[in-house]
Amino acid sequence: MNFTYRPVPISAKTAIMAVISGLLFGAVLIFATGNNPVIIYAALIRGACGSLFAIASSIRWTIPLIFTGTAAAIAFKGGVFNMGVEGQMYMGGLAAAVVGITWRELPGCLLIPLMLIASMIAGLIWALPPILAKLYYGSSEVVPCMMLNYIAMYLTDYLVHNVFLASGNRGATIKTDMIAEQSRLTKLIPSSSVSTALLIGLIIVLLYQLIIRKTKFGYEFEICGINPRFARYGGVNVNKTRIGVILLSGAIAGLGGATEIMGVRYCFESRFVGDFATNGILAALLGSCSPVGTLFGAAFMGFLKAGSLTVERTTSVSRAVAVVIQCTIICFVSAKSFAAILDLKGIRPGKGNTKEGKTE
Amino acid sequence: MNVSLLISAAMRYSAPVLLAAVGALFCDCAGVTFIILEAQMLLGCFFAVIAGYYFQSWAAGVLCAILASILLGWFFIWITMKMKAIELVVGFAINFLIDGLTIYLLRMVFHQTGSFVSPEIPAIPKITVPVLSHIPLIGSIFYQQTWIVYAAFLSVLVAAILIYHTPFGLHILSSGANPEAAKAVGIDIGKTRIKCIMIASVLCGLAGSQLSIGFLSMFSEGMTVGKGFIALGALMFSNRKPTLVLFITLLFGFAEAIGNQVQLSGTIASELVLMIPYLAVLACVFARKPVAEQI
Repeated sequence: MNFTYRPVPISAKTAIMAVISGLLFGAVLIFATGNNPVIIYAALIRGACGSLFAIASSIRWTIPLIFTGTAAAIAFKGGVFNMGVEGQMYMGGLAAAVVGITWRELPGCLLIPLMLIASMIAGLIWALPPILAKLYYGSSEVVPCMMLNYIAMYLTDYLVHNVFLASGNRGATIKTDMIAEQSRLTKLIPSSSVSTALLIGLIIVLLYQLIIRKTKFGYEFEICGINPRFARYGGVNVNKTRIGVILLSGAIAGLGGATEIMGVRYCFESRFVGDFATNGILAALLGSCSPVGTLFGAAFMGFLKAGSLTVERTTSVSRAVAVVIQCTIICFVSAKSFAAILDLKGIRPGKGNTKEGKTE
Repeated sequence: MNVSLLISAAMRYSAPVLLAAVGALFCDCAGVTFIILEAQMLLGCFFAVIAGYYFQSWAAGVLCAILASILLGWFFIWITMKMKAIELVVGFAINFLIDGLTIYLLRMVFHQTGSFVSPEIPAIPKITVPVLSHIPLIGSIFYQQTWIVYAAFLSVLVAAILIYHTPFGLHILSSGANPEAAKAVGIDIGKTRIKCIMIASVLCGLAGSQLSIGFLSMFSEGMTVGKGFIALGALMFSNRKPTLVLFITLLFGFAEAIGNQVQLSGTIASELVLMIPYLAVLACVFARKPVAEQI
């Protein structure tokens, strides 16, 4: 099977069409299950940007997606379909939590960098097997990545359950002790979950922009993603570059896990990643893997997530509807002929079913 | 540890993975990147339980599971072939779309969270082959299995004949190996690929029914837990050889069956036991002979 993925630029029109069709499908689904889509979407918007609390909630759900999105975007841009972001995030989160619990007496200015570095190393190690499988064992990276996701999930569960279980745990949830007070990230908006993790995320996006615009490595890995044969012809060591790409991606994913724990939860909870990884990958695909596009994609996904939580709280509709909307959007966003069909239909109504694909 | 029980359990566990892997084999040979096996299985699980519950018949459940899976296959065909979307991206999105959709429908239509269990969900009847089941040790293969399990093992044989010994198989292989050349000699690549996706859809629908009403008679959110990807892993390791597909899926079946027995005995933490099938796939990937540089 052909698992090579090459990022294609997505026009703004296609993206908007995809978003509209996603919302439309969501509306049909809401209507079919006996609710008024207008009311539900109003609740969604209110929950995502209706008040300061709502905006803070949107930002809170965007922060982890900035990390996972950038991690995915870098990998995709370098021609590696890194679906293992979830596992890398678990390992990064656990590494940070363990450091934060073990060296409690260290001052914050030492402990925080130590936790961040530990998480990056853990994420990086977890990203290594898939790329080795791809480059040296002729397998695709997709399947090992998926397997490592499940392994990371169960392995962290096991380690937390058997080694790092919180003292005085009542047995209901599997989580570790709280991390040291001084290692928690400062809040940017008081009494919300928005912390300086946002700044770290923005720095990562900025660094990604700088890497692809200004450095040799950035140029090389972009070329490897677009056309590996050409890259090799031009003297780029494709294998080495790809290893670099996925290690970078894994490190950022691990960092995302660490900031989630240091900024929001203060302890490692079993299954804390949830849908961060998938939403991040979707954000990268929506933003055609460019730094700014990914940032917007992440913000959009965070917006939907925050809104869907309010929808679930205030109405009878499940928040799973947001997942359906997000995934429908991604289905259509790579469909080249989709926007073209609607174009032609606008000019010649009723006509247009077979040959539009070739006009694109 | 009871060996004949173990064999019987391994058969049961490997059947859904085997069905999905055979479906993927058809698509792989025809050159389609078909990773929505997981989604089709999950949708199959959902509709098998729901339709079975409403119509009070396992046959209706299986039929609806297959229909739902085919419908999803058509959506995939429409969006990748007509709308020219990227197969990998769409496949990835559909996997999560169906995950969300089944959770949504479960909560909205049946007001259940987590799982849907009811004594009124019918189960596929278990068949015991009269004479063969009395053979010591391997007799358990023919003891108390659903017909889907037998169909799964038959499907490997059918696939091997269909792909490697018929003109249709030649069409499949050529549209995968060299689409331009296949087109030049007059093979309709689109139609061949559509047929392959349809075959895979039917098989995944069956796999979903086996998984849900085959031995548990329940639906729980995300109950396929990566079985579609395990099937892909088995396929990737097999180099398109049906016998190897069979062998590897059986290996996973045994891994899961042994894991479950160990879990029951309680000597090893359940988290580690749950990891076994995934570790087995990973080990398979690295057990291959190293290859030269891949670009």
